[in-house]
Amino acid sequence: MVSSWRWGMMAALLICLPTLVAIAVSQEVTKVGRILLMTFDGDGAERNDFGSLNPIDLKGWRLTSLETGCPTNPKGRALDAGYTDDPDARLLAFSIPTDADLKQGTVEMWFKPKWSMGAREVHTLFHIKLRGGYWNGIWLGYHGTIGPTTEAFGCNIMDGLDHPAYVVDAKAQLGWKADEWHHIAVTWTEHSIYVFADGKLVAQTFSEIPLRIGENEGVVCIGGAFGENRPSAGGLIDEFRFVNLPLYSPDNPPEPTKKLTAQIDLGFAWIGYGAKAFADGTAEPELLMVSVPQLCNGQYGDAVEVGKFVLIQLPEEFEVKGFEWSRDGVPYAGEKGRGWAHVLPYPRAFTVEVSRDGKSWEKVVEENDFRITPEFVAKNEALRFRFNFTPRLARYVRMTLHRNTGGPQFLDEVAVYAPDGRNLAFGATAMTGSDLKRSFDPNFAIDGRWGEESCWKSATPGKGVLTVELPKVCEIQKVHFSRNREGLKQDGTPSAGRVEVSVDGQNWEVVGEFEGTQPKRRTIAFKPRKAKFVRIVVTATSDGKEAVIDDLQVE
Amino acid sequence: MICRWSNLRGWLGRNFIAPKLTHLIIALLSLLSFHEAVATAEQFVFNLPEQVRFVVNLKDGHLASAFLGKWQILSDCFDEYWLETESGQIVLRTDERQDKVIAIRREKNRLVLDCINELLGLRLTKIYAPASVQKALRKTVTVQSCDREGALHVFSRVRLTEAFSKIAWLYTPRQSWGGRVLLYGIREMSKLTEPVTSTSGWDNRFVVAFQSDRSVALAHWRSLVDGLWVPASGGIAEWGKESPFALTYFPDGWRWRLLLTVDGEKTSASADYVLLSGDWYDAWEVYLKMPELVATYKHMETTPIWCQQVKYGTFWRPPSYEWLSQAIEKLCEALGKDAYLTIGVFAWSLDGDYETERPFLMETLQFVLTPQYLRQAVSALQEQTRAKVGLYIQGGLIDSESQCYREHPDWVIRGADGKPVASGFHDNPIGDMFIANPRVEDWVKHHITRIKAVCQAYDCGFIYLDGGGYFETVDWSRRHAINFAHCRRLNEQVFEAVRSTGRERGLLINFQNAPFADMSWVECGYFAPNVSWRDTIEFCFDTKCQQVDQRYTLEPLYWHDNDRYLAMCIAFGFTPCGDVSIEKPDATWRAIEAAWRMKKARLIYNSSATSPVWWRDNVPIVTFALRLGKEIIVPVLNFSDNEQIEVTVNLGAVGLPLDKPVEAIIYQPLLSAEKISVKPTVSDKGKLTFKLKVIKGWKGITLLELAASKP
Repeated sequence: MVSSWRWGMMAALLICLPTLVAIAVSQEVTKVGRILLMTFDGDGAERNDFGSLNPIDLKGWRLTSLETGCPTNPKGRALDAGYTDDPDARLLAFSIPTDADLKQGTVEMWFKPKWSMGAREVHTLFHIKLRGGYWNGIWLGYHGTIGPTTEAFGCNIMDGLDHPAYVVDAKAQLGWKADEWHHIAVTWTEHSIYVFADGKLVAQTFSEIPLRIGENEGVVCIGGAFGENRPSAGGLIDEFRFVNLPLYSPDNPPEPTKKLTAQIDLGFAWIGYGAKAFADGTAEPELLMVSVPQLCNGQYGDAVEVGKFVLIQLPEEFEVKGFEWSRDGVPYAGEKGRGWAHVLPYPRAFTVEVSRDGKSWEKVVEENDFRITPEFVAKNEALRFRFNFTPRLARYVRMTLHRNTGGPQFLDEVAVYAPDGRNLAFGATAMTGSDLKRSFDPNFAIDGRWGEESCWKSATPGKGVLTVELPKVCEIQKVHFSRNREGLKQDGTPSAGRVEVSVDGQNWEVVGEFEGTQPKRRTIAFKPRKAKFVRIVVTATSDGKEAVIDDLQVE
Repeated sequence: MICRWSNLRGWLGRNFIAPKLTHLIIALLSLLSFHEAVATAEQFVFNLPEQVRFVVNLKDGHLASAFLGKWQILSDCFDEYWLETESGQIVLRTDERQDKVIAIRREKNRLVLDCINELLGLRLTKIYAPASVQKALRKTVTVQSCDREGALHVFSRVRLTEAFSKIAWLYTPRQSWGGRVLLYGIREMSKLTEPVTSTSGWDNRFVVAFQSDRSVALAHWRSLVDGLWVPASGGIAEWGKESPFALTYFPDGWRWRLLLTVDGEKTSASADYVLLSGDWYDAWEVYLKMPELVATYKHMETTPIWCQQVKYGTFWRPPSYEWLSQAIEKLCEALGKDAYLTIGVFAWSLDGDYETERPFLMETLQFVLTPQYLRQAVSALQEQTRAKVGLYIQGGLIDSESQCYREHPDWVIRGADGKPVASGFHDNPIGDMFIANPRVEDWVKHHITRIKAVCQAYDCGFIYLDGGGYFETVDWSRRHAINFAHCRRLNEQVFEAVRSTGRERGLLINFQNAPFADMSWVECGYFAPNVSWRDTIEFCFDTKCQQVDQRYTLEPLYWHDNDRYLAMCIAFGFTPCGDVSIEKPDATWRAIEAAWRMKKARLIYNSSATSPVWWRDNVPIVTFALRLGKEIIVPVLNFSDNEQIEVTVNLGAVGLPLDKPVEAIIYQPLLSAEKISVKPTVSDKGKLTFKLKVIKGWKGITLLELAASKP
C-alpha cells in the first residue's frame, strides 16, 4: 500500500540493431550521392560531401613527388600508402557522419603496389569500419594469406558475416606485378558487390539477404585499415573517389582512362543535378518485407525487431509438425547458462499457419493469451517456446503477431520441426513484414540508387507514365531505365511502351519504343535532340502489375 | 489524575454499578473537585495538571468539554458510527447521542463505561483515562459486538468551541499523495465554511488546532489500535482512490476514523486529546515522547551501526554488474572511510521476492534470472565491505501471474463480489497486483519464510521491504477488517525474520519512519516537480518531525530537480541517492558532505526559534533550527524576489546562552565552498537578526551556523 517502487518501468537495453529501422523508408536524397574525391594534387580532398576537406591527420600522410601519378594523371602526385618505408607516415583518413547512408556505394582508385601478387601479406586499400564487432566493415584490399597457397584480391563487406567478392588465387587470375598501375573500382548495393580491375569485372558476390550496412565508426580510411596508424596498402594510390551510390555494374563497367571528376556521371536526369520526376500516378506505400536471416541462423542472442508477421520459406516442401520461437533463446540455466535472459517484449496473441504454395494457408497454432509462467521458467533452461501440431506438408510457415506485452517485438530464433526433430528452418529464408511502409516517389527512380528500396511504382496495373524534368534544356540521345538494375526482381517490369521527349512539357515526340521482359537496364538510343522533359510511357508490364522503374538515366 | 479517587476506591471498585447511582456518586465527586466546570449531575471531570480538565458525559459517554485554564477548547464531541454494507452503501449513520451508558466501572485511574447503541445493536466499551503524555486524555473505544452485519466505522469527532474555532489554525501532517482535495498542511479554520473531506486515499489521524501566538493548542491523534501503538497515517483506500471515510474538516472541528470492524468483531482503538501551550511543532514533540511510541521503537537499539552511516545510495538493475564493482570501489573511497553506500536492487520475482532454488521471472518480466547469477551479482556488488546491497521485496502485494497466487488465490483481499482487490500497481505488464491479507497466517508464514530464505541465500546487506505500510480495509471473502495493528504485527515479524539471519543485516521499510525498520525511504511522488515548494518544505519538515528516531536514514529516491533535491538533502539531512559515478560537480559533492553532516542534526521543536516562518509570517522564506552538537544550524531558503533577507534567531528558544557572544557563519554549499563569517545587525532581547544575501530558489540553500564564542 505504501508507494511502491516506480521507475515508470525502465526501458530495456536493446542489444540488437533493429533491421527494420536501418531501412530508409522515407528516403532522404540529400544523404546519397555524396562524394569524397582526392586526386592528391593538393593539400586535401578536392571535394568531400561527407565532411571536411581536410583529413583527420593533417600532416602525417605522404605524397609522392610530381610526375609520379597514375596513367590518367602522370604529371601529378600520388598518395604514398606505404610504398616507401617511412616510419613517420600516417594513415590518410577522413571523418564522415556515423549515420552516413552507406547501403550502396562505389569506391574507385588507381593503385600501384610495391608488391606482386603472390606475396603472403595483407594490404588494405580502403576501409570503413562499421559499428558492431570486428566483422563489420567495408574492406577493399589484397589478402595474401587467405588460403595456405592462395591469395585473394577484392572487396569484403562484413555485416557480422563475410560477404566477400574476391578474386581467389589472385596471383593466377590477376597476376599483378610490383610497380604496375591498375585501376580498381568496387560498387556495392544491398545485395551485390562488383569488383572491377582495369575496367573489367573480376569478382562479384550476391546475397539474397540484404547486407546490413548500418552505422559506421565515422572514418573513411584510404590506403590502410581503421585502427591502424600507418598505411598498409604497400603502394601508391591516385585518383581516388568514394561515392555513396552504385555507379558500375557488369553492364556498365568503369572506364579507367576517363579522368575522375567531382561530377558523377549519372547523366542529365539525376536528382543531384536538379532533375525532378513526377508521374501520372504512384502506387500507395506498401508494407515492407525485409529479410531477417538472424531468425534462422541457428544462433541465439541475436534478436531482431520483427513486424506483424514472420514468414519462413523452407528450401523445399517438407513434412512439418512443430514451430518454435524465442525472444531470447540463450540458455539462462544449465551448464551453458548465462544466468539471465530477456523476457520482454513477448507475443501474447499469435497464430502460426503453414502453406504449400504461399497462397493458401492453414492455421496450426492459435494462442490468444500466451503467458510465460514461473513454472516454465523454473523447469527449463532457455526461453524457447515450442508448439506441436499434426504433421502436414508445407514449404511456407507464417507466424502472425496479434498482440504483445507492449513495445516493438523482437525475436531471436524461429524453428520449424520435422517429425524426426530436425529444424527445417535452419538456413531457410526468413522475412518479416512490418507497419513500416515503403513509398514509391517518382524521384526514387532518379536518385541514383537501385533496388526495391528506391523505385517508382505506378498506380495503375500494367501501365503508367514516369516523367523527368531535366534541370535545363539539354541535347540528349539515350535513355536508360531498368525495373531492377541487378535483375533481382521482375514483377511490374515494363514490357511495352515508348520514350517521349519534349522541350516544353506539352508537345511530345516519340523517340523510341521498347518491348520485352528484361528487368535489367535497357537503353533507348535516338538521334540527338534538345529536350527538357523525358517520359517513359509504359503501356504493358510483364505480369500485368503496376509498372516499376528503379533507375532512369538520360544521356 | 482523576481527582480524589483514592478515597472512594473500595466503594467504586466493583465492576458493575447501577448507572443512576454511579452518576450521582461521580457527579458529587466532581462537584467536590471543580467549582465551575461541572454543571450537571451527569458529567465526570478529569482534572489534570496545569489546569487541564476534561469532562465526560455519563449519560451517553461522549467527551463533553475540555479546558486549558480558562479556555474552553472542546464542546460536545460526539463520535460517529457508520454502517456500510458489502456493496459499499452506507445504510446507517448515527452517533454517540444515541448511546446509553449501561454500566460504569472504575479501574484504577480509568473510567469505564459500558454502552449500547440500540439502533445498531452495538455494544461497546468506552474507557477514559489520562493519556501517557501530559495534559492529555485518552479515550479508548472497544466494539464488543454488533447485531447488524457489515462494516462498522467508528469516527472520532472533535468539536471546538466557537470562540476557539474562530481563531484556530489547523494542522495535519502532509502526505503528498494525489487527490482533488488534500487536507494537509496549515489552514485557518475561520475559512472553513462547510465540511471538506480529503480525497486522498492516504489518511492521517493527527490534527492540531492551535493559535498562532502559541498560547493554546489541541492535538488529537489516534494512539493505539487493539492496544498497540500504531502510526497516525496510512492507507484507507486502494492506491489512487478516494474514500468517504477520510479525514474531514468542519467549520467547528474535524473527524477521522478511529476504528473499523466487520460484523461486530471485537476491536479497539484509542484517541488522545492533548491540550498544550504551543503549536504543531510542540505537538510533535509531545507525540514523539509518547511512551508507547518510544517503546515501539526500542528495536532501534539493535540497528546495525552501518545503517546509521549511509552517506549515499545508488541502484543496480540486472543483468550486467561486472562494471559496477569497480565503480563502487571508487565511490566508497570518495565517500570517505566511515561512510556506507546502499545499492538498491530491483530484480524481485513474480512471487514477490527472490527465488532461491530455481530460475525466476522478474516481476517486471524484463528478465529471467537464476539464483546463482544473482548471488554472484550481490557478492560482486558487496565486494567493497562498505557497500550494502538491498534486495527489494514486494511486501504486501501478490502478483496475479505468480505461482503463489495461482496456488493460493485466497491469500488476497477480495471485495464483496469475490474478486481480488487490485492495488492499482502494474509492475507486471500483463497482470495485476493484488493486496495480501496480513491476517492470513499461512500467507504471513510463507512471506516470512521466503524473506529468511532470501537473506540466507544472497547474504544481502539489507532487505528493502516495499509495502510495509499501514492500511485499513475489508476482506469481504473472509469478513476481515484489516487494521493498522495487523500491519504492525506483520512488520515486526519481518524485522525479526531479517535480524534472525544476521545481526548486521538491515531492514529498510518503504514507509516513513516505520517501526521495526533500520532505515526508511521517502518516496518519489512527494518530490515530484509539480509539488509546490511550500508543500515540499512542509512535507519535508513533517518528515523530520516524524523521524521518531534520528538514527534512521531517509533517502529520497529521485532527482527530478537537482538543486531542489540537494537542497532538501542538505536542509533535512536526507541521504542523497544517484548514480555511481564519482564524476560529480563540486556542488554535488559539497551537498553530499553537507547532508552527511546534517544527518546528525536534531530539529528544535519550537516555531519561535527562528523567523520568518513562512506559514506563520506569510513570507516565502523558510527557516527552522536544528542543533548539531554545540552548534545551532538554521537552514534558510528564500523564494522571494528580494535576495536581501533578514533572519532572526531566538537564542533562548534554540538553547544558546543569552549572556555570551555568538559567532555565526553562513555556508551556501550549492554555490560555493566558502564559509563566511557574519555579524548580526540587530541584537535585541535574546534575538539576533542577520541580513543575508540568499539567492532565490533551491540553489540558494543557506546554512546559518551559530555557536557560542569560545572564551
